[in-house]
Amino acid sequence: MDADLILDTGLIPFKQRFPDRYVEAGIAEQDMVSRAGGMALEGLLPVVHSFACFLPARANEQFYNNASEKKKIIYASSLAGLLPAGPGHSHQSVRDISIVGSIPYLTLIEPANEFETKLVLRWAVEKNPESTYMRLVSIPVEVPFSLPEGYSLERGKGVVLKEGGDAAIIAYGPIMLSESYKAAQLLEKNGVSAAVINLPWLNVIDEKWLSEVTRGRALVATLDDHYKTFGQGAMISQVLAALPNAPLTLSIGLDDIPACGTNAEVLIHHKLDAESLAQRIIQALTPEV
Amino acid sequence: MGELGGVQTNTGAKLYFILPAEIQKGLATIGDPLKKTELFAVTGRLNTLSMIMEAGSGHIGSSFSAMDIVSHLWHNVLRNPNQPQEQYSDTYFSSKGHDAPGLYSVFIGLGLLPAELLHKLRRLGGLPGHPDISTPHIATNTGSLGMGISKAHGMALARRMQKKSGRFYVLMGDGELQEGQFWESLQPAVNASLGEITAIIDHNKIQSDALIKETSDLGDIEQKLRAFGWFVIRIDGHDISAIAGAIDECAAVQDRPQIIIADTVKGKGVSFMERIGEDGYYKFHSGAPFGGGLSKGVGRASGAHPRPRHRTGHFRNSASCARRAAKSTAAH
Repeated sequence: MDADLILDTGLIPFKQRFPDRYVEAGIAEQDMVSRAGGMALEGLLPVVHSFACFLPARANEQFYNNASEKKKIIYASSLAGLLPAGPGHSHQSVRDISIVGSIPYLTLIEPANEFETKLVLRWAVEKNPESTYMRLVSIPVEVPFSLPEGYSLERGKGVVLKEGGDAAIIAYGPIMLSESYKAAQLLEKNGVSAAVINLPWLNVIDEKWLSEVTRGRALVATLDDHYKTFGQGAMISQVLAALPNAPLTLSIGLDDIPACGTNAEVLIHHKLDAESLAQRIIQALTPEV
Repeated sequence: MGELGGVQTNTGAKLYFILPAEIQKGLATIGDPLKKTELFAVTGRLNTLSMIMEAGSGHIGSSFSAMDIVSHLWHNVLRNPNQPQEQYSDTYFSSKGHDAPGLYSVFIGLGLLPAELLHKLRRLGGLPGHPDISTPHIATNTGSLGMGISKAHGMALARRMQKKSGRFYVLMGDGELQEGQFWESLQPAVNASLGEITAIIDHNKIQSDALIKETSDLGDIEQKLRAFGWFVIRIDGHDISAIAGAIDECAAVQDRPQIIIADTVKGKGVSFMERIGEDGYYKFHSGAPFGGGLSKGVGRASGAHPRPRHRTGHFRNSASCARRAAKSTAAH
């Protein structure tokens, strides 16, 4: 099911291959999401797509109503996050985790790269007994990291992309993981050893895993491609705060309405580029004089 | 619970329920199915009133305005209702969902739910304040307004894709039509030629607070719906034979969805619930219908509207049997 975005998001081949399984809902997200609920009640598994800035925001109550019936639906939101920054704030989806993240029976997940996207879709179809909200970045990103051999998804658990002992940066999605990875490389040059951890799960976390992966570190930095308030970082901080000997946490994310500009300009403007991240982490690690 | 539930409220008022066996006994004396339905609706109103009184809150006004329509559908129209897995199943649900107590009364009267649930409205493990699919025979969760036609559209597409069949009856409130999603859902249902969908607007003219025309007037609703391409009929929503005629007429329309605008009276069946308050607000939308003045309401629900003698007579006999039994069971 789609709301007038198949050209923008590369879904035309699906429509051509499965014309009977493609439903064009038009620019009517609430109608589309309730129709998906009706289909799920009748035994189908609907996959519902629109931009992240519209789908969960326009149809929030419809998401919740569907969740209350505990039938399985897959929501796919493209154009998630701060970038591209050209379209401006109406299209920069940086609040969708907070909009639908607390809905029971709905798992939010953002893949790090093309490979993990395939894993996520397969997991959503075959493994997740609940509904899934897939948060997808829609710009090409050259990622400097790769997922380890044999990696598979485990609910609530992340994966280390780069080892490091002093600090850990936890992020998700291709853009922020790439900036984190580059920041960790910069930090190394400054004598700080920082791990980079991909945590694709946005509203579920395995507390034991988090406790183990952060143990003994001086700092855990979380990086949201989203408003800092009620993003993934808030969930991580909540768990860390309850741990004995909890590490210092630094929550990074959007603090203001996203700016419009080139992608590079806007990352720097919001201090979410690798260099700013490295500086902010060093600053956090430096004891106040 | 004894043979009949007579319950004393904490205000000291006594509540009367008519059990399914009593209802069926009364119905058995009537031959004409539409007249049976009229009597059935009266028993439904009485049980709804008592359920809401016992629960302490519930949407009484819209349960009463929709009761004749809902009674006809469940008594005479629906075939194998709300069985999505089956090859043929008609689907009924109320999009507004507020009228759940009325629907529960219908289910209980037809023996689709156990009579004990008359005493479990809005109680843990009982009957929820708005429809939930955890209750048998409830098709979808509603109460959040404006979603009904969208849901039926999705269900209908799914049934078509799975080569199953069945008609869809979606009850809507008139206040609910102010929701944007309702208007969003109208055109796509026409574009998809969903002739299997019949929506029924319980047009009782009063929304939660006040008169619709004073809140956000619907304008020429018939003309608007026709302009979207729906087949539109307008009827008296308390005239069972008019309801039956409209349902039949809609079932014959195959190329487009149909909508019945049923002119109804909010709170129908209890004279003082049938009007807006002197201050301009409607007092019987939800919540407790009245503090201690219960017996007044019960009396009027059973006899407020003169009906042909033989039907009313049977009903009164049933009710008086019920009351006698209630006295005996309420004593312990």
